[in-house]
Parts: sequence; structure tokens; C-alpha cells
Amino acid sequence: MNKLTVSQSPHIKSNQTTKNIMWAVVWSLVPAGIAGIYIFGISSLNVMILSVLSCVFTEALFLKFRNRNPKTVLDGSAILTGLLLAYNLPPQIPFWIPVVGGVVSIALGKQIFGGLGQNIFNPALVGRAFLQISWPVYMTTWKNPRWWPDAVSSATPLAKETSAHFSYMDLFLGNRAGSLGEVCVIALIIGALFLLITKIISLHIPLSFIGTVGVITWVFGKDGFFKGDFIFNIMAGGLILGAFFMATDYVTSPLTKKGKIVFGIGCGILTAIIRLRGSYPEGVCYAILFMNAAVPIIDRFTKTQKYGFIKK
Amino acid sequence: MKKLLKEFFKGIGSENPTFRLVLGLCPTLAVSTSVVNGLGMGVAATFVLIGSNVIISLVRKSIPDQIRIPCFIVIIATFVTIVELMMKAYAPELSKSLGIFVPLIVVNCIVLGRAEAFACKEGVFSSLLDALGMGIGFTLALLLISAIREIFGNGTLFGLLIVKSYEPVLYLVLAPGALLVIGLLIGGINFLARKRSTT
Amino acid sequence: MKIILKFAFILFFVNLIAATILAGTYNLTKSKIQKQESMIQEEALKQVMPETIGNKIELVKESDTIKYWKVLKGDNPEPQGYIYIAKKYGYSSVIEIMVGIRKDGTITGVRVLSQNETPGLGAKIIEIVSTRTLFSSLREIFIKEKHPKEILSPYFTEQFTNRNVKELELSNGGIQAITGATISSRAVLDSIKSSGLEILNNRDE
Repeated sequence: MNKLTVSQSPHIKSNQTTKNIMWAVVWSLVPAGIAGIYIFGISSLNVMILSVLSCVFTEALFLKFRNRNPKTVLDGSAILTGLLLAYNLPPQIPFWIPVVGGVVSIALGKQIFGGLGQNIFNPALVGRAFLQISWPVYMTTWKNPRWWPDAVSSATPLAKETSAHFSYMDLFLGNRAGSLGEVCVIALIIGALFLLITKIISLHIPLSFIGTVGVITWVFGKDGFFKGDFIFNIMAGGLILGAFFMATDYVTSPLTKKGKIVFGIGCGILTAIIRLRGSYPEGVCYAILFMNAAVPIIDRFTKTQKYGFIKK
Repeated sequence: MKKLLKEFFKGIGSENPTFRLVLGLCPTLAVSTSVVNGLGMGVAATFVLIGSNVIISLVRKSIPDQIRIPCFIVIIATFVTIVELMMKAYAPELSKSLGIFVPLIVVNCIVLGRAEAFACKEGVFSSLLDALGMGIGFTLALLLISAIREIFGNGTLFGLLIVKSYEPVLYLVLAPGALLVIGLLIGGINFLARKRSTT
Repeated sequence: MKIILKFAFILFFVNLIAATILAGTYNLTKSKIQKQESMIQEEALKQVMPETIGNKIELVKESDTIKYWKVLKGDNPEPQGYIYIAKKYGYSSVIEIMVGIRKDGTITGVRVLSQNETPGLGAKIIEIVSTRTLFSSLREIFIKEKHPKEILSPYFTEQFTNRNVKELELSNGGIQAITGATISSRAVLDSIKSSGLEILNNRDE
């Protein structure tokens, strides 16, 4: 029952279970969480705890209501959703926003479709999109790192009206305003390396996603043709977090390698378009949600040949 | 008598146009942002429904089958235009906020659907009751949806604030909120209906 | 052949009746509709320009970029003020604003005619904060308790009244921008200011 197969045939039996994978991803997110707490202070921890508790509680409620095994509440998937949702929120957000976000993520993003494995969209991003549309003021008021003189700023590096300049080092280490889990690129990369080494995720989606964003923002960036600041665009905003931890979600990404690359490129194109031309400063969340909806059709067109099947 | 009552109540309950037949969703989704809009749309559609159902039932024997659809459309469009002009003259605010959706009642599937499925076969009185039931059912559905959207999405009811410190869920008052609310309501009603039929 | 003629006749007859009814309704409602439409425009004009300043308006210029009237009082040929429609692209839509100014540039009223900014952010330029709630209104109906009548005008545009167009500025002492919607706030301010200055300068030439 707990065995999970995430690729096309032929299948090899392994000891990987849903629970192991989910917990591994949770652990891989820990460095970014610590960085978030260090940069923005203890309020980050509150947001993370509230979001996770809300997700787990909602999951438990639904499992009871739907007469499912209540033990699966601790399979890590709800905790992972809560953690990812928190990482997408500004650190000083009012306490009820992560709570509502957690309920929406699990209830509307996952359980209504039939629970883990049935959901079309990444639950954490469903929650985030809901919050973004419902309370845009809270979702776009950012806190500066705690060592900066003024506490609240209204702009992330990606905001179109900002004049502030950030060095690549600031972006890499997380010395900037932003969502609590997305700012520290180095911490995210440490987590991502762990997932890559343990072979929980493959490089296909992140690489094609980030690469596409890089190429498009380089070619069509605001400084003119082939002059865009692509390093800035890759590190600013939630691209690293989205590409390694959210676009790679097993349930909502394609199965085959070819499909994964198509998926990543699609996410990249949409992200770049929203960033360059859209009215939102950041587009990773909506890009992934859009491409989630396209996964069934990608899977259909990138189906591989059956093992041992000879083409006539 | 019993049959007539049945014709009346089916539109409100078992054959509710929005929740059971899932007809006429376009205006339902678009104008259910506030209770006033929902009520206005519901009453306008009910008026057209009653008018067209009665007239079509009256003339059903003198209209040949082959050209019934154009005739129905002309009759429905006449009533819609009357509603539109009246609304512009006496309720300009409502007419402005309902906008294009008043003229679009012409193509509302409920109206043509009832004409086709009911009024062109049945007598005048039962057609009137059918239209009345369907219209009330549609209006009630709109009221329910728009009340949920306005209360939670805007923090108001009939344009009046409910609680001062409430932070409205903007999502519900925007377009995706309409789909979400209708989806959840249909889901809930199906769930209850299934539960009732099994016990 | 005969059947086609019959169909044509029936269709013609149905249409004839429909057209007659509609013509009647149209005639009945025509004057009322026109009255309603002119009332809306008059109301907007009254809101941006009190009648004490002037009671007659005259179109001065209408082009793609600007449309404005001069406000006259009595037989005095000297304009007492101007009413203009300013347009500027905000965050996600063109914001159209009607503004009234005195001849020295003091704003008498601002009204947003059309906008389609982000709900909850930019759309707050037309938000009205009411002190009335559902419960207080119900109380009014049942206990007949009277409330002082409110001035229902959006708080953002209300800030502009009695300021001079030449000195408009987005700052703490000046016009307060809407939280999280600096771009929309600035677009409103900029379009009021630049169109207003254009009119005042034209007059001086």
C-alpha cells in the first residue's frame, strides 16, 4: 500500500516509501527554515509552526471524516505542505493567514480531489495563490532582515517600482526582503543537493525551469536585447525554492524525463512572462500551478514505449 | 391539483436550474458578487421566464414545429428588451452593475430550455407555474451564492458592513470565487441527495 | 412552396407583434432613460464643482489626451474654474478621473469615473469607508434612531480637495498613498497634476 512508483515501466522494487520521501524533503527544507529564522527573527518560526499545525489538523479532520487510516496524517505530506506554504509567506504576516492558508491548501488543494496522489495542483501553491488573491496587502508587505534600520519594506528585489540595488552576494546569502523561505539561496541549494544525492529528485525539472527563466530574462530583460541580468533573475524571488522543491512534487509533475523537461520549460516561460510583462512582480507560483494543470496532457504525449514492445 | 403543485415545486427543489440541472451558469457566475445584483438578475430572469412561458404556451398550437425556435427566440428577446429598458429607466444603478448580463438573458439556457421542454407541450396554467417555480428556484440559488460571496468576500450584506474589523476574503468576490462557491454548493447538495436516497 | 409562404407569414406576424410592443416600451421609457443619464453626468459635475463657484460650463478643448470645460458664473466672461477629465494608466488599467479646480488651481473635487485596478489594492482609490453597519441600519429601521447623514465619498480622492494642483505630492504631509498600491495612487496624482498644470498654463499664454 505504501509502496510508491514514480516512473514509467519497467518498475524496480525499492525500499522507498511515501513516508521516507516526504520526510526527506522536509529535512532538506530545514536549512532554508533556519536561515529564515536567522534573517527575519522568531516571527518566521511562528509562521512555520502555525502553517504546519493548520495543515496537519485539517488533514486529520478530513481523514477522520472520510474514514481513512488516521495514521497517514504523519506520512509527512501534510507537514511538507505546511512547511512549503510557510516558506512562501512574508515572515511578519498576521497569525491567521498561515492558518487559513493551511486549511485551504489541504482542503481545497488536496483532500477534495481525493487525498494524496489524486491532487492536480501543488497543495501549498493552491494555498498561496488563494492567500495572494484574498489578502494582497498582507501578502506583498515584506519585512526587512532584522539587522536593517527600517523594519518593514514594501518591495522585494523583483518589485517593478523598486530602485534599491542588491549585490549578487546579498541575494545568495539572503540579505534582502522576501518570503521567509525563499531569500537564502545557499541554504536552499544545500537542501536541494541533499535531495539530488539521495536521488529523490532529478535535475530535469529544476534545470530546465531555471535555465529557461535565465535565457528569457537575458534575451528580453529590461536592459535591452541580450543584456538582461539573468543571474539576478535566477536568485531573486522564489525561483530556486519553486524549481527544486515545488515543481518537482511527484504527484503534480510528469513521469517521464522528456515530460519533465517540457514541464520545466513551460514553467520557465510562464515565470519569465509574468515577471517581465505581468502585473505581479513574481510569477513562480502561478507558473507552476498552470503547468500542473498541463501535466496529464504532457504525460500523454511523452508516453514511452512499453518494455519489450516492438514497433510494427 | 397535485400535479400543478409538483410543477411549481420541482423548480425550487428537485429540478433546481442552478444546482440540479446546472443551467444558466454564465449569469450566475458573473453577477453573484452581491445580493442586490443576484436578486436583480433573479427577478429579471423570472419575469422573462414567466412572460415567455405563458406566451409560448398560448401560441404553441399555431406555430409549426419547423420554425418554433426562431419564434421562441423572438418572444424571449422581446421580453428581455422590455426588462432592459425598464431597468435602465427605473433602476439605472442596477442596470449598470448587471451590464451585459441583462441582454444576455436571451441566451440563458433556462429560458429557452423551459420553452422547449415544457411550455410548447403543456397548458397555459401549468406553464405559468413551471416558470414561476423555475424562476424562484433560480432566484433563490442566486441569492444563496451571492449572499455567501458578499458576506465572506466583501464583509457586507446588501452593501452594509457586518463586522468592522473583518478582513474580507477577496478571492470569493472575484471570478474564481464564483466557481469555487458553486462547485462546493453543488458538491454538498449532491452529497445530501445521495445520503437521502440511500436511507 | 405554399408551406414556405405560410412559415414566412407566421414569422412575419410574430416579429410584427414583437416590434410593436418594443416600440411602445421604447417610447414609454425613452424620456426617463435620458433623464437618468443626464442626471448621472450632472451629479458628477456637481460633485467636483460646487455651484457657488460657477453654474455654467462650456467645453474648451477635447482631444485624445485632454478634455476640459471652463466654469463660468453669471455673465462674467472670466472663467471661475475648470473641470477636466484626466486619464492615466495605473497598475492594470486606465484610470479616468474628473477633476474640478478653481482658477488659482485649488482642487474643488475629484471623482474617479472609471478604473479597473486590482481589487483590494489599486481599486481602493474608490473605496468608501462607511461607519454604518448592517446592525446600525437595522436599528435605524426598527427603533427609528436617527444617524447623522454621512458624506459618502472615497477617502483617497477626498484628500485632494482644497489642495493646489501645483503642490500635489505623494508624502506623509501631502497625499497619503494607499498601502500596497503606490503605483495606482501615483497614477491618480500624476494625471491630476499634469493635466491641471497644462490647463492653467494654457490659460496664461
